[in-house]
Amino acid sequence: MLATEDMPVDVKKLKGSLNEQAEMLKIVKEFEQVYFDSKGNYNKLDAITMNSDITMKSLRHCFKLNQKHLMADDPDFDKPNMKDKLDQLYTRVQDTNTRYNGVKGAEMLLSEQIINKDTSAFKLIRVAKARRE
Amino acid sequence: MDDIDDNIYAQEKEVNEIWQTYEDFNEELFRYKLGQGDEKKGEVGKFLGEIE
Repeated sequence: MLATEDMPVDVKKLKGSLNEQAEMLKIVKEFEQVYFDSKGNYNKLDAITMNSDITMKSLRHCFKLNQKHLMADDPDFDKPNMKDKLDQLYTRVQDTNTRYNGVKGAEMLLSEQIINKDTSAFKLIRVAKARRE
Repeated sequence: MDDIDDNIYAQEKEVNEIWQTYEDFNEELFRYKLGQGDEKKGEVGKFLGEIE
């Protein structure tokens, strides 16, 4: 509950509250550090997953062009089974990227909710403190 | 998350490797077509013109 002008200030409670606030602030700062480190790691992984996806799409597109224009008379040219290799790796890359996006999305959403919630809590504490002074 | 991390890094390596494999395959295909005579050389030239 917020303190108002009508409420008497209990110094003991206020001291306890300030200690609690300091402890909360410490925890939030630690949490924010983990959050920003995690965000940095996700940015790196975002770049790799995107790059792998684009590379596989490009290679499959190039293979289709070759198949249409240069291998039409020589359908057996693909002895190393490039087409199958490209298709299989692309499917795996897509699966991994989908799983990654799901896990990352859930984790970042939860972290952001906690950070925003704690920020609001601190705003309330600051308002209460300002009213007392 | 750790197993996904590992997959992402492992797949990055695989993608780079298949890129190189594909380049070798592509070069072999172009050499093969260019070795088939003037008519096929024309096909390669036309193809390269189309994708430019």
